[in-house]
Amino acid sequence: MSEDREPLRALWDAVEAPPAHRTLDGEDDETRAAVAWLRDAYSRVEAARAPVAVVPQRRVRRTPLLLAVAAAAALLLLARVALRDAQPHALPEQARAEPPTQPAPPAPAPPAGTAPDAAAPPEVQVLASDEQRLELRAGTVRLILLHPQTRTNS
Amino acid sequence: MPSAADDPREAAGAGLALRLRAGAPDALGAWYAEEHPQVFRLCLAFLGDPTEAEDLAQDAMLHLSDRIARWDPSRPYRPWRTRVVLNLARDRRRRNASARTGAALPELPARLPAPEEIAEQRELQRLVGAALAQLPEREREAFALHDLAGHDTAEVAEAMEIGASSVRSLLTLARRRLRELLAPRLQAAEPGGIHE
Repeated sequence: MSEDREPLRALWDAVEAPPAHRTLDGEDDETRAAVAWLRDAYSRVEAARAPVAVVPQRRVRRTPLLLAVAAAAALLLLARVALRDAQPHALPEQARAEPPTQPAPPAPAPPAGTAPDAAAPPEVQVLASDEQRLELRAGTVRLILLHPQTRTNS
Repeated sequence: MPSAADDPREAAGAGLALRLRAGAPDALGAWYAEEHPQVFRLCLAFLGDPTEAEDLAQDAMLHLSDRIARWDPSRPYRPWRTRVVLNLARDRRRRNASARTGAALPELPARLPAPEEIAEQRELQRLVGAALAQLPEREREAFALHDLAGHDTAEVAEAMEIGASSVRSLLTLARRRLRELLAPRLQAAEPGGIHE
């Protein structure tokens, strides 16, 4: 039975469909009105405005461990610079703008007999971590990383 | 329906894709500006939710730009692009299927205003997505590809990997379902129309 139908099916599939603008001719008024409404609405749908920079940006995959390691390394470097320059008041912009969410822990005391400029960099602490932001602290330096998608919906 | 060679949308898309493929310096931005709105509309049609559609559209644009070398310039560009977006949407739906189990379909208002009267773009997107979300997935795909995006039956059949007769059947079913869904709401919007 199926073998008999195959040539017919192939013939049916080979028949060219009429052009799209004619395929609604056989439909009733209500169907044409429904399709027309949806076509009109669909054509008016606009995508969110593309960023000014050339897109697409490669999306940041949610790999918190790698991100935390990279951020911690950057933070340690900043902390080293801050300690070496002995300018505890020169905080990064982000840390200055944001009030601390937790009381700053006491910096670890350098081992006895160790010169200040040879002190080990402060311990890196994770203050906040979720899908939208990662906040780290090392001594007087704070680093806040925001997910590129973080924005308010208009 | 113009052939692929005559379709200005195909000409524009293919031209930009060729430049992107060739690595022209300013090709990516121009291609993105032209393609992203169309890709987003497709994603909205396939997924039925504007937020999901935005997310998928970004992924799709990245996917397309990374794989533009796989497009054969001797063949039309738009069907290739649409197939890629459709497959990504199907993957996304499969991944989200468990989370959506039991979730209610988005609602449509009792009265549907004319599209030009809908001032808020987000509301327009929501209504388009909600209307299409009422359709079973295969009917939604066939309808979106054929009646909304303007692909011919052969292109829809190839994208959905089904026969042309199946495409026509799905279109008939989709249009019937949309008539039942939308017609009363459109009549309610007319002066003296039916009020629920």
